[in-house]
Amino acid sequence: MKPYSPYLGVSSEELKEMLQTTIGIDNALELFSDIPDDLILKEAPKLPVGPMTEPEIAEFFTELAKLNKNPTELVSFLGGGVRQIYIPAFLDEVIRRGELYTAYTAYQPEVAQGMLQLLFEYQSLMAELTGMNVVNASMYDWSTAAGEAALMSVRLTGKKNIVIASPISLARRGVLHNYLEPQGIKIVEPYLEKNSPFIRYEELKKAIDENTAAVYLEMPNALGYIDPRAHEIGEITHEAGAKFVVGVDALSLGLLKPPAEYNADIVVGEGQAFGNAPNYGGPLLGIFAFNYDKKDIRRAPGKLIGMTQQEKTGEKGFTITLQAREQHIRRAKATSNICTNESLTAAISAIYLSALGPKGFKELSLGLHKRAQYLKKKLQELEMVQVMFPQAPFFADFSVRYGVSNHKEFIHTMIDRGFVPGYPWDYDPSLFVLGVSELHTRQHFDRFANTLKEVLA
Amino acid sequence: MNKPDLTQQARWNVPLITEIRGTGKRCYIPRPFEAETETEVSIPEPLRRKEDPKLPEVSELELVRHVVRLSQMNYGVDLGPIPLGSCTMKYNPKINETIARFPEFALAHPWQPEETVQGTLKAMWLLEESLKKLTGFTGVSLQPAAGAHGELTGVLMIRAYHHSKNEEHRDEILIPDSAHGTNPASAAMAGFKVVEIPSNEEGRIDLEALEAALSEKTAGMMITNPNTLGIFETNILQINDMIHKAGGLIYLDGANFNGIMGVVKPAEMGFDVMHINLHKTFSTPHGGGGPGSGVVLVNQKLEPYLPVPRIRYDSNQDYYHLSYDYPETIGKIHGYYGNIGVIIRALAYIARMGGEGLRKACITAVVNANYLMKKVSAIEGLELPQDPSIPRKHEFVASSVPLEKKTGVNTLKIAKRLLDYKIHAPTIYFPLIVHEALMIEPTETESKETLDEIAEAFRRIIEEAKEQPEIFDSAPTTTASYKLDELSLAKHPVLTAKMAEELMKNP
Repeated sequence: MKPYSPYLGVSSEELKEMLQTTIGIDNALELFSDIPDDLILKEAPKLPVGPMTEPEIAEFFTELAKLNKNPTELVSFLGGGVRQIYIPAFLDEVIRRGELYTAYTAYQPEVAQGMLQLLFEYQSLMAELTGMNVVNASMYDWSTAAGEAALMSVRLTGKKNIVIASPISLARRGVLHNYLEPQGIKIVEPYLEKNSPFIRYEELKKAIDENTAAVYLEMPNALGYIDPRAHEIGEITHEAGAKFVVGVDALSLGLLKPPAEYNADIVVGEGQAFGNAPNYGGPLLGIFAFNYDKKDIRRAPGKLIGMTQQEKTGEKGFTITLQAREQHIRRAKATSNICTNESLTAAISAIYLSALGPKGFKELSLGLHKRAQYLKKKLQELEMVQVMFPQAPFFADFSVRYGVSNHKEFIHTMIDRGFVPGYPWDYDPSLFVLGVSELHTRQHFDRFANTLKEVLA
Repeated sequence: MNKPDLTQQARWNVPLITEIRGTGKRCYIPRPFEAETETEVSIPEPLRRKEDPKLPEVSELELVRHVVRLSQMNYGVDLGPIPLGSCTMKYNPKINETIARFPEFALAHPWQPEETVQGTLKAMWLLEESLKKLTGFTGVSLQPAAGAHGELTGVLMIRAYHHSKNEEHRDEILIPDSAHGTNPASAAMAGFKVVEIPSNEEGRIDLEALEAALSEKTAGMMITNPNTLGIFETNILQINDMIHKAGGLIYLDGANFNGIMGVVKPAEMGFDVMHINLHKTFSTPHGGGGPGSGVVLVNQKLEPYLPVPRIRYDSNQDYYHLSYDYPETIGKIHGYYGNIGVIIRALAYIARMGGEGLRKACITAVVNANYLMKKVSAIEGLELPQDPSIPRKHEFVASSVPLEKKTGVNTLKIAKRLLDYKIHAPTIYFPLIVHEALMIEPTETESKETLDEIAEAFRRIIEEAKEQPEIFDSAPTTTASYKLDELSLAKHPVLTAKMAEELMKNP
């Protein structure tokens, strides 16, 4: 007996009637008669899953979920822009309103005022955080937003080099390559300073020249640190006529200076932690912010939501604006190919930021920093652990070496004891980048330090 | 006869949340961190924020009302039909929402070692295997976050393929004039020149024009099949053969996969690569504009170039790996592994439907589209620009040219009036090759009654156009907002609350 699908709007009986009385054929497969015969499958492909009833689905996925370590039993010290968070109950409840999450993109603004207003609020709040005055309605993630920022800089300057002013992850480097290399844009990467998580300043200065379209600085960078020379790097960038692009972990902006204050031209970054679960790396929230200029804005990628008036009443209303930059109008000459973005995660982050308010946001940001400071102190007390770059400022992530020869085995041992001891750095797996989250308590850090003491002894 | 629903959509006066400031009220209070000894802030003064960002200060109830009221001013599939062509706005099953929120899935950090996320990796692998079975392809990447992102990934792989054969001169991608705008935009982002191929009278690719466009510069072609008119490219085998003979590869835009799912395998049509929009064909919610997922599938020719990491299953150990060991890979296209929350939902949908269920969904979608086409095209004032005897697949395109000529009421006005009838407008003025186009895709999840309501709404609107055309000057009037002044907005963009305040001060 085949389970009847509750997701089909018409029954077999109705289907038959529709075919015979209105369409005028007997068999639905006649509607595929224009397809070459040998292409038509005689029967449905056999799939590795399904069909199941709903209780079976619930059971199947409960079992599947058990194959993951339970997050209450595994304490992960991982950051890098994406973080485990607590999702307030009210937030998850309101965002499950079907009117919002089952809606299409707001091309019919008269019936989409709810989502449009939330996205406008997102743009407004993210502008407050970054200090920039325009924010688009979202990109896929930090990495793709960085790629789009580099492309926009090239459009604005007509130049073709992008200078990377921070250590960045291999993944981000890979995404940048795929966004830039086809356009003939070169990525210039000066070396790291010795015993420092920052780029060698003299080399950076040399790398920035008349061919530079943009200088890309991450705050914090992939090793977790905040470059104290951000202001100067912005200055030398602007002296060369290039755009200053800054990548941020948006959570840090409760504590750190908004990039606008050190003269960023474009701010990109990750906003997942504002109310969105990390979901093993997606959906995320690519932030894309810049400063308003009548001409420049026409070179910007992504959707922009604007506030205007209802023609009849003069009341406020919202709609997608400046669409002539986008692919559905400009096609091959569009500023980006992006269509579907991460609207719902942007809307969620607007609600979350509203829930935090100025005090909550500061407390959250500061709370993460304090946790990281505490963890750093605990690890500095351990002889076997070398806390790297102890003088360099950081936000909620920092780097250590554990002094073990077999890192894989060490990670495995730590997992068995309930901890993920950081992320082995892409270019040097003996260097671990540790990140903290709001879920971490003092007991977690104390237990972690004690476990390390035993394991490394 | 079905009664039209002209009731009023909610129209709350919801202030911008940014206006509610300085009240001292709190909503979400983060968990504090207290150590015995005060931990210091290690950040040097010049790098620290001086002034708090101007965020709202509201109570939890105020914020709940804010969002719930706004939700009532929004329209989704849960409220009524969204027959947007090429968007496949089908029902989003609720069990999928519940499953995606299981903490083991939702809270997993992307940098967790693979031994701690075997469940997620297995879900990803099961989705990959299911999609391979449905399409006939041999390789998959779940990494692209949306359809256009999948297109970019696909054409980057085509580029890598030609470069590996030292054929860098192949720098042209052919695209039919009926294609989605993302196709030319994605090809351009991957560094290709775009060559447009005209459609013939049937709405299919013009073979002579295709022949003339093929050359040693051809890198490949992007084809949507069924195309954006809902018409299957009957000559697809010949077309793909022509392109292959010219040395090009063929990309299938899978936005319209719902029209052939479980009935035809794209790989068997000769395609080399395709993307699938999980947020269309596989029932995941569109989220008011995203997140989506644009999974890419390839045949053996392109497998070496797939993004990394790829999932490998070791059946001896019953263990899933993330492997980076593919020297010819194009590398990364997303910071992590794609929109995994969407992928879990899509797998739950496949688990519910099974292969046969998916085939039935496709056939039902096609019957629904053809049923609605018969009803809509019978209305005087609307016409089918392409031969009505060609069976459409999951969608069809009608034109309002006859009505426009007679009454001046055009497609835009019909679309706006439909909103008054509590039916989301179809895709309009697309594809570009049809004048006054109405592109309609009802999907399999709509009932016969709803299809009849849509047809009846069209009928009444056409009647109104003839009898009271003045209605259309103000429509829609029963929606959350009236028509918006888009012109002055484009001239003087107000993109944040701060810009709005400044405009108030200096109009």
